[in-house]
Amino acid sequence: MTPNNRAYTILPYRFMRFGKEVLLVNEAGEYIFLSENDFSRLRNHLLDEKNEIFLNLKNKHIVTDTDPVLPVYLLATKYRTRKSFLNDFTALHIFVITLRCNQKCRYCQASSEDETRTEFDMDNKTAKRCVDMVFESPSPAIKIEFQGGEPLLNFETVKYIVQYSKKLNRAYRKNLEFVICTNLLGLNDEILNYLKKHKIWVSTSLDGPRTLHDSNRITRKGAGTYDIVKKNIQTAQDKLGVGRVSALMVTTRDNVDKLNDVIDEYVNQRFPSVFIRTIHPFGRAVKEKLGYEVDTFIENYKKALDYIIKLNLQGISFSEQYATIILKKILTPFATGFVDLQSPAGTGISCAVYGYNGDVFVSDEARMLSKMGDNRFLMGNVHKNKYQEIFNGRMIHEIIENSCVESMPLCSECAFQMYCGADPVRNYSVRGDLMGFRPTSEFHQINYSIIRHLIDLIKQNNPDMMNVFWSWITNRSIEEIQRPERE
Amino acid sequence: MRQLRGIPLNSRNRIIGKISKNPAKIRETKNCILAIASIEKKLRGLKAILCSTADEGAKAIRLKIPIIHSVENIEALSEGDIVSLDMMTGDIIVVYERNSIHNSVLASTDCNCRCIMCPQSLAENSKEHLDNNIEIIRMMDKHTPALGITGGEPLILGDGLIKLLRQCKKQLPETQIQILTNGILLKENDYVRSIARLRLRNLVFCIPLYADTDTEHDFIMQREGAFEDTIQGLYNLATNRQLIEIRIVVMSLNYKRLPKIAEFIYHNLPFAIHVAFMGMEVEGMARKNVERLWASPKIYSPFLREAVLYLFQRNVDVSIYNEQLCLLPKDIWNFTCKSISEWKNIYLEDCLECSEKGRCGGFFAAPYGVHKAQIHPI
Repeated sequence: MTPNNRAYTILPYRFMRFGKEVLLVNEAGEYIFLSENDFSRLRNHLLDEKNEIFLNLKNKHIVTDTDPVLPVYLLATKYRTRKSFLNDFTALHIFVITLRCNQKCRYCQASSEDETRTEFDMDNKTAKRCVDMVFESPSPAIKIEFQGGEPLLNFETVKYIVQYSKKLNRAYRKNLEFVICTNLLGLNDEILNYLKKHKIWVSTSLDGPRTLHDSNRITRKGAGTYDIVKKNIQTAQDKLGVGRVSALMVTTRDNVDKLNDVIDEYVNQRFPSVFIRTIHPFGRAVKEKLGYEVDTFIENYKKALDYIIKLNLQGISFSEQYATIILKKILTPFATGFVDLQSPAGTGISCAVYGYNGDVFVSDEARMLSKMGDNRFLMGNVHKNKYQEIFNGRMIHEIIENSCVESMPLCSECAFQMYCGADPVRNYSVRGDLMGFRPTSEFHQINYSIIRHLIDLIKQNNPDMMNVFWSWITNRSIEEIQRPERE
Repeated sequence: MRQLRGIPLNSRNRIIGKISKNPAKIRETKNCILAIASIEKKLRGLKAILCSTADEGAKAIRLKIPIIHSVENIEALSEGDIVSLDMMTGDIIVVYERNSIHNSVLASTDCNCRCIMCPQSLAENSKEHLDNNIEIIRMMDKHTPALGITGGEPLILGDGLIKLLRQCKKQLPETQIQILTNGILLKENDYVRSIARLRLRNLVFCIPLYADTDTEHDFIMQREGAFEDTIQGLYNLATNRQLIEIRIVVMSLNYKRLPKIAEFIYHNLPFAIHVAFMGMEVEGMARKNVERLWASPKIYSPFLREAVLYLFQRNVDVSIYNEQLCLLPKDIWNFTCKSISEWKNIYLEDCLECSEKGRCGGFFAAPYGVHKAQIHPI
């Protein structure tokens, strides 16, 4: 057929080869697989419009033989939905309550101070200014996260912030939530009662069973913390409810090849999920040589995922959070609201970090760089600057301009674009520029490999595995999804 | 609709009224139609009287109010039912059954489409039609659980539909109201907004989607541009925060695409609160085109199963209407509903032996011959 006599129009899509098949992804992140032969027929305008493959492609708005107004309208609507995290601006506000810590974890990126150094505490005057600034955000949902150091060491300021922001919220009427990130060492009844009364979520750290946990998570005197953490997790779960307590882990050289043990520990301690996180190349982690080759992480991540899927098929509902986020991006039309995997990057526009002295950073890693003497990502200070200067300053504009995967080299043509995001702070800390260099970027390697692995799994179209994935995405038990029952 | 018949006297008009069976309990006689075995005492102010025996004729003439006597099966009428009496023919049409969950108002007898499987017979709307419907709604029980607004196409009433809905809001504030519409006229956002402004809390728009692509949908609707207009209408509803149910009638022309239709709905219409797959009612146009449109549930059930489980897996509320359990795989039985109105819902002789009859939706009054032959007790 000649170009002038084409029966159908091809709309924008990105593609990637998967063995003998080709993955095509439309502008809104919906995908379809074609054989190499059909892919060639598609490009050469040789598909018959009555053919099933043509209809499937038309369903995904990759071709149209009628007016393109409707598919473009649908794509635009879905694109807007995917990017709806942009509508509300900054929702997550992290408060560094103190730099003091009663632990000295070997991978600590927060470079903590000694327990006695109260000059590193956030005072009420600073806290008040920070809360005032938080409420200037247009977001209808506000999450205030207490971080450190160890925030329980300066709990009076935590209480002040809760009380003051609740007072302000009587006028603002935002959906206000609090999370405390704590190692739980200092937990007592008074604190527990306070957390319960104010419905504060608890996020703690657990790296696995005793040997793995204690190899990195130690007190300042070098003692293990596993026993007390385990006991306090249980106390908090019993008092606040199992669902109100979550835990995070860091993958280090010590546990990277023992992730099954970590998972078992999480299941035993009644956690519904685990977030298998890589170590960040910041702070002490670099000095202590706790890292590993990216490939080692990826291989072990895949094995861990297999193990979790197997657990689910044995009837134990348990999910991996990173896979769940990416699966949601691949399989659903919705936005995920996960700050670390956004385009433009969530740094600054979706989350902000308030230092103990009122410095405002775009992310926790940005605060680390500052601690090491580089103020590249310091947006301002609550005592010196106005909201507009901090959140509409040169810095945030520059970050947005340089963190859209739609225009970043190699990302711009990648079929995974809609499933991925950018990390300008990490790019800067590794290479000195916001844009980064994909061929050597670990961020790229990890995300590319995990996304590709998940698509490989989806492609197998194993009904059991898909039930597991959908139980994660829709937050239902595996049993509920395997046996359709309705009232 | 359920229909009875008798011999009319004293009037030649059309009368709409509410049934009462106990003369002693009548408080407001204005809209009341008394349905009794025989007339025992003089009654005043009633709209009409229905009675079962012929002997009442003489008494009735003297009363000088409209009467239909010799009504067979008068027990079928319940207190609070609303009937429309044709005093020329003696037809008694039950337009509302107080004890039914399947009540509906035929808002329009006309339509802007001529779908090839439409079970309705269409005719131009008469002038009194809307006023009659409003009067019927005014007489309904406040506790009516659900009411369908059907047609033809109810939206072609334009402002008339708004008037009708306003009456629903006033008389039936708790009732689940379902408008059965092709959604084409909802492409005008101003119209959608004027409906949304009524703030009916329990209003659901039930809108058909026959295909995942325009050409195929338009062919079934027999209207070019129908797909595009309906999609625009659905988006307008979503923007105005209205509730939507998507309905897919299964036929030979679309059953192979059912999983793809489910996929299209999940990705493009994720705001729909309910999706229903429906067996075809072989009436009207569907009967005329049955050779071309018919597909056996036995043939299409694997596709139906895939589509239903696809949506269930994604946490979308999904149902199957008008299908029989003996023709469906067991793992989707839980999605079936008793969806056929009582007055036209039947079971076959074979069904009497079936252990699952209590759960099964049964048939529209007239199952098609090929279909009938495949039914068997479980």
